[in-house]
Amino acid sequence: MGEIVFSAAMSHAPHITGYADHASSEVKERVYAGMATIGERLRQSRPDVLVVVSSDHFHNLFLDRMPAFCVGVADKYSGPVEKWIKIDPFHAQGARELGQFIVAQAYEHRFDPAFAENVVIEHGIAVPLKFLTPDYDIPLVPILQNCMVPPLPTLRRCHEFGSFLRGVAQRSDLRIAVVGTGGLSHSPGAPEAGDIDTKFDLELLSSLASPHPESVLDWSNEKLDGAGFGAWEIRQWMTALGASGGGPAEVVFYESVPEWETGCGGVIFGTQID
Amino acid sequence: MALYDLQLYLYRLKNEPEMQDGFLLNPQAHMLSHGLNEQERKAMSDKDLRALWRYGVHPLLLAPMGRFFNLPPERYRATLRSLAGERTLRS
Repeated sequence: MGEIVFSAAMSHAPHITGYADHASSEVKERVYAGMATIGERLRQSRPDVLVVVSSDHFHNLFLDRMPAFCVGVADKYSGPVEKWIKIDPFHAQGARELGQFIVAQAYEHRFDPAFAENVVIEHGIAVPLKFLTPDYDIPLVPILQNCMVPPLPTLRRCHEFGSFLRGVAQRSDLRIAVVGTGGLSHSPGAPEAGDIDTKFDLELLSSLASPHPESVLDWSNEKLDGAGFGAWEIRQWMTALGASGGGPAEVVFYESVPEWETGCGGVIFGTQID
Repeated sequence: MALYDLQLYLYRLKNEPEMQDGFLLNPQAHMLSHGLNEQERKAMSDKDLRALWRYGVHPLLLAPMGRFFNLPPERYRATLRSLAGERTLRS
Protein backbone atom coordinates (compact mmCIF):
# COMPACT_ATOMS: atom_id res chain seq x y z
CA MET A 1 0.00 0.00 0.00
CA GLY A 2 1.24 3.46 -0.86
CA GLU A 3 1.07 6.50 1.38
CA ILE A 4 1.52 10.21 1.73
CA VAL A 5 5.03 10.50 3.13
CA PHE A 6 5.27 14.28 3.17
CA SER A 7 2.98 17.26 2.98
CA ALA A 8 3.88 20.92 3.04
CA ALA A 9 2.83 24.34 1.79
CA MET A 10 4.86 27.38 0.82
CA SER A 11 4.74 30.68 -1.02
CA HIS A 12 5.71 30.80 -4.68
CA ALA A 13 5.94 34.52 -5.45
CA PRO A 14 8.01 35.08 -8.61
CA HIS A 15 9.83 38.00 -7.01
CA ILE A 16 11.47 35.53 -4.59
CA THR A 17 13.86 34.62 -7.38
CA GLY A 18 13.12 37.28 -10.02
CA TYR A 19 13.88 40.22 -7.76
CA ALA A 20 15.72 38.35 -5.05
CA ASP A 21 18.05 41.20 -4.18
CA HIS A 22 15.29 43.76 -3.80
CA ALA A 23 14.79 42.34 -0.31
CA SER A 24 17.44 42.74 2.36
CA SER A 25 20.08 40.04 2.41
CA GLU A 26 18.92 38.95 5.87
CA VAL A 27 15.32 38.50 4.78
CA LYS A 28 16.36 36.75 1.60
CA GLU A 29 18.60 34.36 3.53
CA ARG A 30 15.86 33.50 6.01
CA VAL A 31 13.30 32.80 3.28
CA TYR A 32 15.75 30.82 1.18
CA ALA A 33 16.85 28.83 4.25
CA GLY A 34 13.23 28.07 5.12
CA MET A 35 12.42 26.91 1.61
CA ALA A 36 15.60 24.81 1.53
CA THR A 37 14.64 23.22 4.86
CA ILE A 38 11.30 22.16 3.43
CA GLY A 39 13.20 20.73 0.46
CA GLU A 40 15.56 18.77 2.70
CA ARG A 41 12.70 17.33 4.70
CA LEU A 42 10.90 16.45 1.49
CA ARG A 43 13.87 14.55 0.13
CA GLN A 44 14.42 12.81 3.48
CA SER A 45 10.93 11.36 3.14
CA ARG A 46 12.13 9.50 -0.02
CA PRO A 47 9.05 10.05 -2.17
CA ASP A 48 8.60 8.22 -5.45
CA VAL A 49 6.51 11.10 -6.82
CA LEU A 50 6.07 14.76 -5.96
CA VAL A 51 2.62 16.25 -6.46
CA VAL A 52 2.84 20.05 -6.61
CA VAL A 53 -0.48 21.86 -6.32
CA SER A 54 -0.43 25.43 -7.54
CA SER A 55 -2.57 28.08 -9.15
CA ASP A 56 -1.99 29.02 -12.77
CA HIS A 57 -1.25 32.63 -13.67
CA PHE A 58 -2.64 32.75 -17.21
CA HIS A 59 0.09 30.61 -18.72
CA ASN A 60 -1.87 27.40 -19.11
CA LEU A 61 -5.46 28.44 -18.60
CA PHE A 62 -7.54 31.38 -19.72
CA LEU A 63 -11.12 32.50 -19.22
CA ASP A 64 -12.34 30.35 -22.11
CA ARG A 65 -11.76 27.22 -20.02
CA MET A 66 -11.16 27.51 -16.31
CA PRO A 67 -11.39 24.22 -14.45
CA ALA A 68 -11.41 24.14 -10.66
CA PHE A 69 -8.76 21.41 -10.78
CA CYS A 70 -6.50 20.35 -13.64
CA VAL A 71 -4.14 17.37 -13.35
CA GLY A 72 -0.95 17.07 -15.41
CA VAL A 73 -0.63 13.72 -17.19
CA ALA A 74 2.57 14.23 -19.19
CA ASP A 75 5.83 12.29 -19.40
CA LYS A 76 7.93 15.44 -19.12
CA TYR A 77 7.61 19.02 -17.92
CA SER A 78 9.78 21.99 -18.80
CA GLY A 79 10.16 25.41 -17.33
CA PRO A 80 10.15 28.06 -16.31
CA VAL A 81 8.18 29.91 -18.97
CA GLU A 82 9.06 33.28 -17.40
CA LYS A 83 12.70 34.17 -18.08
CA TRP A 84 12.49 37.11 -15.71
CA ILE A 85 12.22 34.89 -12.62
CA LYS A 86 15.87 33.98 -13.17
CA ILE A 87 15.63 30.23 -12.74
CA ASP A 88 17.72 28.23 -15.19
CA PRO A 89 15.68 26.25 -17.71
CA PHE A 90 15.01 22.70 -16.54
CA HIS A 91 13.19 19.53 -17.41
CA ALA A 92 11.50 17.28 -14.92
CA GLN A 93 10.23 13.78 -15.49
CA GLY A 94 6.46 13.53 -15.32
CA ALA A 95 4.70 10.77 -13.41
CA ARG A 96 2.16 10.18 -16.16
CA GLU A 97 0.74 6.98 -14.70
CA LEU A 98 0.03 8.55 -11.35
CA GLY A 99 -1.52 11.61 -13.01
CA GLN A 100 -3.84 9.38 -15.00
CA PHE A 101 -4.60 7.30 -11.91
CA ILE A 102 -5.52 10.47 -10.00
CA VAL A 103 -7.95 11.51 -12.73
CA ALA A 104 -9.51 8.04 -13.03
CA GLN A 105 -9.84 7.78 -9.26
CA ALA A 106 -11.33 11.26 -9.10
CA TYR A 107 -14.15 10.28 -11.41
CA GLU A 108 -14.95 7.43 -9.03
CA HIS A 109 -14.82 9.68 -5.97
CA ARG A 110 -17.02 12.64 -6.90
CA PHE A 111 -14.34 14.90 -8.34
CA ASP A 112 -14.23 15.86 -12.01
CA PRO A 113 -10.86 17.47 -12.71
CA ALA A 114 -9.66 18.42 -16.14
CA PHE A 115 -6.42 16.86 -17.28
CA ALA A 116 -3.63 18.16 -19.49
CA GLU A 117 -0.79 16.59 -21.44
CA ASN A 118 0.88 19.97 -21.81
CA VAL A 119 1.37 21.89 -18.58
CA VAL A 120 3.79 24.79 -18.92
CA ILE A 121 5.80 25.11 -15.74
CA GLU A 122 5.60 28.68 -14.51
CA HIS A 123 6.65 30.32 -11.27
CA GLY A 124 3.89 28.73 -9.19
CA ILE A 125 5.72 25.43 -9.52
CA ALA A 126 9.21 26.52 -10.66
CA VAL A 127 10.02 28.72 -7.65
CA PRO A 128 9.19 26.05 -5.04
CA LEU A 129 10.79 23.31 -7.14
CA LYS A 130 14.11 25.18 -7.22
CA PHE A 131 14.29 24.64 -3.46
CA LEU A 132 12.38 21.37 -3.11
CA THR A 133 14.25 19.34 -5.74
CA PRO A 134 17.22 21.38 -7.00
CA ASP A 135 18.22 18.49 -9.26
CA TYR A 136 14.65 18.03 -10.56
CA ASP A 137 15.09 14.33 -9.93
CA ILE A 138 11.73 13.36 -8.43
CA PRO A 139 8.97 12.56 -10.94
CA LEU A 140 6.31 15.21 -10.90
CA VAL A 141 2.54 15.53 -11.09
CA PRO A 142 1.48 19.19 -11.33
CA ILE A 143 -2.07 20.02 -10.31
CA LEU A 144 -3.53 23.45 -11.04
CA GLN A 145 -6.29 24.84 -8.85
CA ASN A 146 -8.29 27.89 -9.87
CA CYS A 147 -7.41 30.64 -7.41
CA MET A 148 -7.42 33.45 -9.95
CA VAL A 149 -10.86 33.86 -11.53
CA PRO A 150 -13.99 33.59 -9.37
CA PRO A 151 -16.03 31.60 -8.75
CA LEU A 152 -13.35 29.56 -7.01
CA PRO A 153 -13.48 26.12 -5.43
CA THR A 154 -14.11 26.56 -1.70
CA LEU A 155 -11.46 26.08 0.94
CA ARG A 156 -13.35 23.02 2.12
CA ARG A 157 -13.53 21.58 -1.39
CA CYS A 158 -9.77 21.99 -1.80
CA HIS A 159 -9.25 20.28 1.56
CA GLU A 160 -11.50 17.44 0.40
CA PHE A 161 -9.44 17.19 -2.78
CA GLY A 162 -6.34 16.84 -0.62
CA SER A 163 -8.04 14.10 1.42
CA PHE A 164 -8.93 12.44 -1.87
CA LEU A 165 -5.25 12.56 -2.90
CA ARG A 166 -4.44 10.83 0.38
CA GLY A 167 -6.82 8.03 -0.57
CA VAL A 168 -5.24 7.82 -4.01
CA ALA A 169 -1.84 7.36 -2.41
CA GLN A 170 -3.18 4.52 -0.29
CA ARG A 171 -4.69 2.84 -3.33
CA SER A 172 -1.38 3.12 -5.18
CA ASP A 173 1.94 1.48 -4.40
CA LEU A 174 3.80 4.77 -4.25
CA ARG A 175 5.35 7.00 -1.62
CA ILE A 176 3.87 10.37 -2.50
CA ALA A 177 4.78 13.88 -1.37
CA VAL A 178 2.29 16.74 -1.75
CA VAL A 179 3.26 20.41 -1.68
CA GLY A 180 0.71 23.19 -2.03
CA THR A 181 2.06 26.52 -3.21
CA GLY A 182 0.91 30.12 -3.18
CA GLY A 183 -0.07 32.95 -0.83
CA LEU A 184 0.13 34.32 1.68
CA SER A 185 -1.37 37.81 1.67
CA HIS A 186 -0.57 39.73 -1.50
CA SER A 187 -2.10 41.55 -4.44
CA PRO A 188 0.21 40.97 -7.40
CA GLY A 189 -0.32 43.33 -10.30
CA ALA A 190 -3.07 45.30 -8.53
CA PRO A 191 -2.80 48.88 -7.20
CA GLU A 192 -2.50 47.30 -3.75
CA ALA A 193 0.66 45.42 -4.80
CA GLY A 194 3.15 45.56 -1.96
CA ASP A 195 0.48 45.65 0.73
CA ILE A 196 0.88 42.73 3.09
CA ASP A 197 -1.60 41.76 5.79
CA THR A 198 0.79 40.39 8.37
CA LYS A 199 -2.00 39.92 10.90
CA PHE A 200 -3.87 37.68 8.46
CA ASP A 201 -0.73 35.71 7.66
CA LEU A 202 0.19 35.13 11.30
CA GLU A 203 -3.36 34.15 12.18
CA LEU A 204 -3.29 31.60 9.36
CA LEU A 205 0.02 30.15 10.48
CA SER A 206 -0.99 29.97 14.14
CA SER A 207 -4.31 28.37 13.22
CA LEU A 208 -2.57 25.75 11.10
CA ALA A 209 -0.12 25.06 13.91
CA SER A 210 -2.94 24.67 16.45
CA PRO A 211 -4.51 21.31 17.36
CA HIS A 212 -7.41 22.19 15.02
CA PRO A 213 -5.87 23.41 11.77
CA GLU A 214 -9.08 22.63 9.90
CA SER A 215 -10.66 25.66 11.60
CA VAL A 216 -9.29 27.66 8.65
CA LEU A 217 -11.83 25.90 6.44
CA ASP A 218 -14.51 28.11 8.00
CA TRP A 219 -12.80 31.34 6.97
CA SER A 220 -15.03 33.48 4.77
CA ASN A 221 -14.35 34.68 1.26
CA GLU A 222 -14.51 38.24 2.63
CA LYS A 223 -11.70 37.50 5.05
CA LEU A 224 -9.49 36.23 2.26
CA ASP A 225 -10.44 39.12 -0.02
CA GLY A 226 -9.30 41.52 2.70
CA ALA A 227 -5.79 40.08 2.55
CA GLY A 228 -5.55 40.65 -1.19
CA PHE A 229 -6.61 38.36 -3.99
CA GLY A 230 -3.29 36.52 -3.80
CA ALA A 231 -4.49 35.16 -0.47
CA TRP A 232 -7.03 33.11 -2.43
CA GLU A 233 -4.07 30.81 -3.01
CA ILE A 234 -4.23 29.46 0.53
CA ARG A 235 -6.55 26.97 -1.13
CA GLN A 236 -3.40 25.05 -2.02
CA TRP A 237 -2.45 25.04 1.65
CA MET A 238 -5.84 23.49 2.41
CA THR A 239 -5.24 20.82 -0.22
CA ALA A 240 -1.90 19.97 1.37
CA LEU A 241 -3.53 19.94 4.82
CA GLY A 242 -6.14 17.48 3.53
CA ALA A 243 -3.43 15.31 2.01
CA SER A 244 -1.56 15.20 5.32
CA GLY A 245 -4.50 13.60 7.07
CA GLY A 246 -4.85 16.27 9.70
CA GLY A 247 -1.72 18.22 10.35
CA PRO A 248 -1.08 20.26 12.46
CA ALA A 249 1.58 22.39 10.84
CA GLU A 250 5.12 23.07 11.84
CA VAL A 251 5.81 26.66 10.82
CA VAL A 252 9.18 26.66 9.10
CA PHE A 253 9.41 30.32 8.12
CA TYR A 254 7.52 33.54 7.70
CA GLU A 255 8.65 36.92 6.44
CA SER A 256 6.60 39.90 5.36
CA VAL A 257 8.46 41.11 2.28
CA PRO A 258 7.01 44.24 0.64
CA GLU A 259 9.82 44.24 -1.92
CA TRP A 260 8.57 40.85 -3.09
CA GLU A 261 4.97 42.06 -2.69
CA THR A 262 4.18 38.98 -0.62
CA GLY A 263 3.82 37.57 2.85
CA CYS A 264 6.18 34.62 2.39
CA GLY A 265 5.65 31.52 4.49
CA GLY A 266 6.20 27.82 4.60
CA VAL A 267 4.90 24.97 6.74
CA ILE A 268 5.31 21.22 7.00
CA PHE A 269 2.18 19.36 7.97
CA GLY A 270 2.36 16.49 10.40
CA THR A 271 1.52 13.49 8.27
CA GLN A 272 -0.83 11.06 9.98
CA ILE A 273 -0.14 7.35 9.73
CA ASP A 274 -3.30 5.37 8.99
CA MET B 1 -14.37 45.48 -27.56
CA ALA B 2 -15.69 43.27 -24.77
CA LEU B 3 -13.49 42.90 -21.71
CA TYR B 4 -13.12 39.20 -22.51
CA ASP B 5 -11.69 40.01 -25.94
CA LEU B 6 -9.36 42.68 -24.60
CA GLN B 7 -8.07 40.24 -21.99
CA LEU B 8 -7.68 37.53 -24.61
CA TYR B 9 -5.52 39.93 -26.62
CA LEU B 10 -3.39 40.65 -23.54
CA TYR B 11 -3.21 36.93 -22.70
CA ARG B 12 -1.92 36.17 -26.17
CA LEU B 13 0.49 39.11 -26.03
CA LYS B 14 1.81 37.74 -22.74
CA ASN B 15 2.31 34.21 -24.03
CA GLU B 16 2.94 34.28 -27.78
CA PRO B 17 6.25 35.62 -29.13
CA GLU B 18 4.67 36.11 -32.57
CA MET B 19 2.07 38.40 -31.03
CA GLN B 20 4.78 40.38 -29.28
CA ASP B 21 6.77 40.70 -32.51
CA GLY B 22 3.67 41.82 -34.40
CA PHE B 23 2.82 44.43 -31.80
CA LEU B 24 6.36 45.79 -31.68
CA LEU B 25 6.61 45.92 -35.47
CA ASN B 26 3.48 48.00 -35.96
CA PRO B 27 1.40 48.50 -32.81
CA GLN B 28 -1.52 50.32 -34.41
CA ALA B 29 -1.93 47.88 -37.26
CA HIS B 30 -1.59 44.93 -34.91
CA MET B 31 -4.19 46.25 -32.49
CA LEU B 32 -6.56 47.20 -35.29
CA SER B 33 -6.30 43.75 -36.81
CA HIS B 34 -7.23 42.25 -33.44
CA GLY B 35 -10.23 44.50 -32.99
CA LEU B 36 -9.13 46.86 -30.23
CA ASN B 37 -11.18 50.06 -30.22
CA GLU B 38 -9.71 53.56 -30.26
CA GLN B 39 -9.65 53.94 -26.46
CA GLU B 40 -7.98 50.58 -25.98
CA ARG B 41 -5.42 51.32 -28.69
CA LYS B 42 -4.63 54.65 -27.08
CA ALA B 43 -4.23 53.05 -23.65
CA MET B 44 -1.79 50.51 -25.07
CA SER B 45 0.09 53.09 -27.15
CA ASP B 46 0.42 55.37 -24.12
CA LYS B 47 1.42 52.39 -21.92
CA ASP B 48 -1.47 53.58 -19.77
CA LEU B 49 -1.78 50.81 -17.20
CA ARG B 50 -4.20 52.88 -15.15
CA ALA B 51 -6.68 52.97 -18.03
CA LEU B 52 -6.34 49.23 -18.57
CA TRP B 53 -6.98 48.66 -14.87
CA ARG B 54 -10.10 50.81 -15.07
CA TYR B 55 -11.31 48.80 -18.06
CA GLY B 56 -11.34 45.83 -15.69
CA VAL B 57 -8.22 43.97 -16.80
CA HIS B 58 -7.18 41.21 -14.39
CA PRO B 59 -4.05 42.16 -12.44
CA LEU B 60 -2.27 39.02 -13.62
CA LEU B 61 -2.74 40.16 -17.20
CA LEU B 62 -1.85 43.74 -16.34
CA ALA B 63 1.44 42.97 -14.57
CA PRO B 64 2.91 41.25 -17.67
CA MET B 65 2.13 44.41 -19.66
CA GLY B 66 4.21 46.35 -17.14
CA ARG B 67 7.12 44.05 -17.90
CA PHE B 68 6.39 44.21 -21.63
CA PHE B 69 6.59 48.00 -21.37
CA ASN B 70 9.87 47.63 -19.41
CA LEU B 71 8.54 49.16 -16.21
CA PRO B 72 10.54 48.08 -13.14
CA PRO B 73 8.35 46.88 -10.26
CA GLU B 74 8.77 50.07 -8.23
CA ARG B 75 7.50 52.20 -11.12
CA TYR B 76 4.70 49.77 -11.84
CA ARG B 77 3.52 50.01 -8.24
CA ALA B 78 3.85 53.80 -8.19
CA THR B 79 1.86 54.10 -11.42
CA LEU B 80 -1.13 52.22 -10.07
CA ARG B 81 -0.92 53.08 -6.38
CA SER B 82 -3.44 55.93 -6.28
CA LEU B 83 -6.09 53.57 -7.69
CA ALA B 84 -5.94 51.37 -4.58
CA GLY B 85 -9.42 50.58 -3.32
CA GLU B 86 -11.11 51.74 -6.51
CA ARG B 87 -11.68 48.22 -7.82
CA THR B 88 -11.23 45.46 -5.29
CA LEU B 89 -11.28 41.86 -6.41
CA ARG B 90 -13.92 39.80 -4.62
CA SER B 91 -14.26 36.06 -4.45
